[in-house]
Amino acid sequence: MKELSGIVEIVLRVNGEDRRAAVRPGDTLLRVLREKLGLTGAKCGCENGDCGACTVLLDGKPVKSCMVLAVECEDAAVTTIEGLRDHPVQQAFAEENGFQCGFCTPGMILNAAALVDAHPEPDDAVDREWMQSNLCRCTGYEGIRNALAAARKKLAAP
Amino acid sequence: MIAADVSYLCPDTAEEAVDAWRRHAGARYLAGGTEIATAARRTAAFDLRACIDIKRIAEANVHEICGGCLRLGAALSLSDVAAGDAFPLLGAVLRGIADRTVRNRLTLGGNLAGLLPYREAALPLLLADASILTIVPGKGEIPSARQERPLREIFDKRLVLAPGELVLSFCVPLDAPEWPWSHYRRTRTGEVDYPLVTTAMVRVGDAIRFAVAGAHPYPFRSDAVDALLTEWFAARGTDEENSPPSAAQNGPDSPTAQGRGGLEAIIAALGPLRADARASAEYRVQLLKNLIRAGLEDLA
Ligand SMILES: Cc1cc2nc3c(=O)[nH]c(=O)nc-3n(C[C@H](O)[C@H](O)[C@H](O)COP(=O)(O)OP(=O)(O)OC[C@H]3O[C@@H](n4cnc5c(N)ncnc54)[C@H](O)[C@@H]3O)c2cc1C
Ligand code: FES
Ligand code: FES
Repeated sequence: MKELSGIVEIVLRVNGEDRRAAVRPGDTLLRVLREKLGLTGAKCGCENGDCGACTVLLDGKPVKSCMVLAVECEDAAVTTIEGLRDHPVQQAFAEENGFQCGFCTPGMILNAAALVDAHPEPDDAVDREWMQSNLCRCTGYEGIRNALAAARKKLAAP
Repeated sequence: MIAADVSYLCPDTAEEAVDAWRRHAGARYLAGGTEIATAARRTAAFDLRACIDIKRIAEANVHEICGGCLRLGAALSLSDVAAGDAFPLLGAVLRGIADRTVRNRLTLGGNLAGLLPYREAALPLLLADASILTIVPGKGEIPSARQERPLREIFDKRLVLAPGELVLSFCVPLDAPEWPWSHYRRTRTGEVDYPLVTTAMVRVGDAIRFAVAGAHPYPFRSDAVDALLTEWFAARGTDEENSPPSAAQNGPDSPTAQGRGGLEAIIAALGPLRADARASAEYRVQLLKNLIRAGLEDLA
């Protein structure tokens, strides 16, 4: 049985690379990504599971990294916004003005990327269910909705 | 970020988990972690010295039909249970809890065992007369032991577990997913919010079963309320041919259309309702009246 206490070195597979970090078992994935690995894309909003600014992908599924311990993720693939390189969803957010201040944007884009991957065809009810996990205080959501549609078009294009 | 220095243990079996609990004072089982990570950060009084991660225990991850029941592991995420769609009422209730991303972590067992008063996943399981499989840590020379009991036997407002008792799975009788059902969830703000009330109802033959979360500081189901609802439902045809109690009917609360007690008696049998910053008790009474009528119409 794996047993960790004190300060331990863990290896996380982040954006396809093995990254080592000295952590306490109580450190959340969000804090380790930002403060130990220098990956500041995931934002610290509420640290309460409400805002979605900390969203990352764990084995391809969106999770709120403020509620996941880093030590729980040793055998998983973590994807942060830094791991998406000019992804069609990123392009669509830029082209459709899917952001203003940008604070919510990394979480929004990762959730949207997982959504269009799981559901290539648009479905209002499904889109709403997924995207309700992320709050934006600037855009009024219209640009984000347009970006989702534009991303799907880009992904469907031959 | 959990401020306290905690240990992290990741057992592969249920026995290892309860054994780890015996060896570590101040240990808690870590399932989805959505409550532990937030409560331990915010609340100094939340005693946490070790997290025993139960997500690798195969028995707590079962999702299968076997031995005449649907067995659902306590460590399954709400998203995974809902996607399975083997019990439509459960799926509908789970899809109302928190938001989609949180549901990718939040577990079935964690929802029932957590501190928050809603525990909405309990409603379909209570209605289905599901059973619960747990393992209790040993004491001295006495080894740990598994117990399978009716959920209603150990659910008194919350799961009443022995110290260190770990929930492994829930077992739903296979006929339960076939019963006609109804579910409503009303919140103060948007869809992603704690419920003012969440109602779940099933019809088993002529009998109505009803459970509600949010109306009290705990999920509620009672035989007395079920009996009153069944009677009221049966009386629906006596005044107007085959029409269920409906908000559109003129005075469905009136004694003639009510069975013996009617809606007021049903509300009274629910006991005092919760009043908080989200809604007054009176508001919840009105909501419940509407949702009970709507639920019975669905089941008619
Ligand atoms: C953002 C957010 C929104 C929420 N919205 C809702 C909502 O709409 N409706 C609702 O009903 N609830 C809601 N909740 C509450 C949530 O369901 C509970 O906090 C639940 O306890 C979390 O489950 P978990 O698997 O993440 O539990 P964890 O945080 O892992 O554990 C919670 C507690 O349960 C114990 N526990 C977990 N699994 C077991 C087990 N198998 N056996 C014994 N003990 C166990 C743990 O030791 C701990 O004390 C919400 C929570 C959050 C964070
Ligand atoms: S910071 Fe994680 S949900 Fe807000
Ligand atoms: S762009 Fe500012 S919060 Fe969304």
